[in-house]
Amino acid sequence: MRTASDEDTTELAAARTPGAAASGSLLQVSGLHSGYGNLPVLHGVDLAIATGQTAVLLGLNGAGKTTTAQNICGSLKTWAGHIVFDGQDITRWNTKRCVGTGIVMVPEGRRVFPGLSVGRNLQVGAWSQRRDQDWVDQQLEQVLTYFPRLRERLNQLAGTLSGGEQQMLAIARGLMARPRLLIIDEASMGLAPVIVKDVFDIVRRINADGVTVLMIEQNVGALEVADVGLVMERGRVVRTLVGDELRDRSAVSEALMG
Amino acid sequence: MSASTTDRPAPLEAEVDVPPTGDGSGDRAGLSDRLSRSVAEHRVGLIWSGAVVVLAAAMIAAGMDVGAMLVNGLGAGAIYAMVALGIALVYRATRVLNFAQGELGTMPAFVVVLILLGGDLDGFVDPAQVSFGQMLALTGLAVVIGASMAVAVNLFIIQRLADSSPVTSLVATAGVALLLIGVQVVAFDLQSRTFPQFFSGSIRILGLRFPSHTLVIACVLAVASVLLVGLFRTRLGVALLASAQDPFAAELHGVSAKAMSSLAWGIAGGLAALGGVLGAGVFEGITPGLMTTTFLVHAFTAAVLGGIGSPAGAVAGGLLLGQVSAMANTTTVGLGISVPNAPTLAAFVVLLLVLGFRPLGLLGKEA
Repeated sequence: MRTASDEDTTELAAARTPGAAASGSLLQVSGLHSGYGNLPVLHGVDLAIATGQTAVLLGLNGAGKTTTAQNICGSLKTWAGHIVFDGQDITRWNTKRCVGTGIVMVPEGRRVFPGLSVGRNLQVGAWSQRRDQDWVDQQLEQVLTYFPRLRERLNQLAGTLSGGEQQMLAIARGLMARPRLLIIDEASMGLAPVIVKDVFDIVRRINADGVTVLMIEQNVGALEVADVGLVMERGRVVRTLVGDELRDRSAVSEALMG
Repeated sequence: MSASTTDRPAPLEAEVDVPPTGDGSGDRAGLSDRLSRSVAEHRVGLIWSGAVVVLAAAMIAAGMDVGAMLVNGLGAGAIYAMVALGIALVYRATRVLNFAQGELGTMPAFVVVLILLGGDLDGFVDPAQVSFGQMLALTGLAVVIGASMAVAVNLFIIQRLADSSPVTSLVATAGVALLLIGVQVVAFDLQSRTFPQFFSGSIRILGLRFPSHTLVIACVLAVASVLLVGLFRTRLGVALLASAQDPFAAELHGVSAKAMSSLAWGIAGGLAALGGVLGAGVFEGITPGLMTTTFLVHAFTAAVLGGIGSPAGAVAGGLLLGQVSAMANTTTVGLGISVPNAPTLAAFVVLLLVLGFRPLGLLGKEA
């Protein structure tokens, strides 16, 4: 286990070197238009995330962050543009197919199954992997190592967990689906700052173990774990932050506030 | 994960009471605890049960045949329970009150009649000529037909109305029921046709005379309930429950909401067909709209009584309502009071009492 993850980490380090993003792109979104009903929300979103990166999609309410994520994971119809994942055009794929290929979204507002136990929630998370029970058992062990608190509460109903624990469960449930790209929508929303820090730490660990992560955030603190920051405004990605720009709060706020 | 070290249980303890897959094997430890908690939760129901026992004792003292009453109540109650179980499953999975639940049973039962008649609608089914094996095969076919019809209703009507108000879906299911009754009237005329039972006659058990058909109904209900409990412990059943609670979150993990709601509707349709075949057997005859006119209102009452959306509640509610109806019948007849349709009257009184005092039902949970 240890050696495997060490290997992963070295691979990731390689992927993070400048220039790797262009060639080792796991997700490439170009000219994305979409919306709800007749209401357009996205007006040509372009973004790219390299294998092994942690990307943070920042923006104010209504900028189109969640809409973009829903297009990527196949739960919202794409009007125009292309989404390419690992070399495959997945623009017209439905959620089930996207989950099958490794695009997993942890929805905004956690959305755990309140009437099911923590263990059952994780079991449903692994639905797409149900034919590989050995892997599911291994992954459950791994996930419970990330979240020891959930191990203590396996038989407790998810609805009785605290907000922070529910967010952990939502991420853990997402990990059970064998993600190659894990999209986490507004993980920090409504959580105490100390819990938010825990969530970001976990994201860092998950990423170090080889999962590419796309975080959707209004909390600029998320940039501390990011390799790339994507700033959205009125349905477009208006700025891409890398390297020192990510740590420079004034540049970030300027990008966010226009 | 800001687990403070003080409230974390010792590692060894955690090992013991947390099975790795969460498959419920740890449930046994807290059984007595859960029992006392459920007694506390359901004390109103327990008080009612106590009152019923006292009433029954009074009836025995007054020389009424309480034994026969219990048997009659079981026969009717088990059918109410079967129909109510389907209503509860569909409500839980798609939040739709299915007014077609009765006719999803009458229709397959009519297909059974059609096959027994060999397509000759002027003919007459002689129950004595229908063998057990034949009846079994036809019931199996009826279940398949009921399930298919229910899945079709879900896919072609309910799913298309998914974004509209629940009332629209409710009216749509009532429309399906009326359509099916119309088809039956056109195809089979407004007349009663004989319908066979699995076994005729009766058996004495513990000094009570049970019609064989009542025992068949009770056994089918028991088997169906056990199978359902089993289903909800499998991965598929858990996915069904998850999808019912949050279809969007379940979809994000590849659980198709369409497939899961169809599964729930399919099971409900199968239960409806069982109810139809066994319900027609109760009267040894079938008329268009039979299940809607004789059982549907009671089944809805049973589902509300048990807590709408709770399968266990639906079964408990159905069996209880069967006893209430039988009791109303026995008391009015025993006391020589003439009350037209006393069992239905009793059912409505129960429905009003539940809605007035415990709208969540016996086993219902806060929404």
